[in-house]
Amino acid sequence: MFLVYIREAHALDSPMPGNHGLVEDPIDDGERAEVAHTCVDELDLPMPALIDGVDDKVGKAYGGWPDRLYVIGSDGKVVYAGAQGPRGFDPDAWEKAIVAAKAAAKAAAKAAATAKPGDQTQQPAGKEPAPGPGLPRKD
Amino acid sequence: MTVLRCAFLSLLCLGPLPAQQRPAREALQKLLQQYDKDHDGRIQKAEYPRGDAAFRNLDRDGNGVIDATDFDPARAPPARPPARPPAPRVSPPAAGNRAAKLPQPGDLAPDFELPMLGMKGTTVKLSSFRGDRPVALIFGSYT
Repeated sequence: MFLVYIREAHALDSPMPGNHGLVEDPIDDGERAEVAHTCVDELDLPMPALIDGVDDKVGKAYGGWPDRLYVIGSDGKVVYAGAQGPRGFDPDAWEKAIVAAKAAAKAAAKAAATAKPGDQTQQPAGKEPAPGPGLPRKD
Repeated sequence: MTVLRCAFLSLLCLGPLPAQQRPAREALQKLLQQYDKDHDGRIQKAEYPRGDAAFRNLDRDGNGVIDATDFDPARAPPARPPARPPAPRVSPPAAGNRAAKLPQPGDLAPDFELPMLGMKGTTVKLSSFRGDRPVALIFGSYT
């Protein structure tokens, strides 16, 4: 589970400034890391945080702004895509999706382990060495 | 209505400053401290290094300087009036969110590799979890 820290929703210098947390919208990656730090510390967030660049590349690819939840299955496919927050923010549905995705991953690992018994290149269950066909992507 | 007005008035009398003015005052002070190099209580465009769009957002009355009037709730009501249910809002004007198509269930999740907070030099690549375990993502920010 990761927090992906993205563009500020209600920065002081934004069109919709908020009263909570007086921060200016970071204009470079260093500043963004600083505010991300403030965010995690002040809000006491327990999960590891990843910091999107100021180009907002990842935030845009996922429509993450101002907040949104996702679950990605162990096959790399989206299994849950939440609606745009804060109104579409649905932690309960998200949690259910996480539980389901974990169960699916377990089942897939088990199936993979039993599918090739006696294979001498067998990996420990749950650890697949390489992505399946068609998956290697160079970015 | 009268009840509401009374509540509002008593709120006004509580502190040295009306509740909703305090953050505005703090915000202005923070900005002045940082950018008001000639200490005249105003931030001229030349003093502000963070770009025209941000300056325009802060110079709410559009008079060319960032000063107290831009942070006076009586003159320029805040964008989000406090203590009121959210009014139906048209889609946010923000720069944040333009993707042609957002990933839907069943789509291959767009891969990314991002630095991890507090672990200098460590990055996390989404696809590194592929074939191993699911990943839950929370997109969000401080404000």
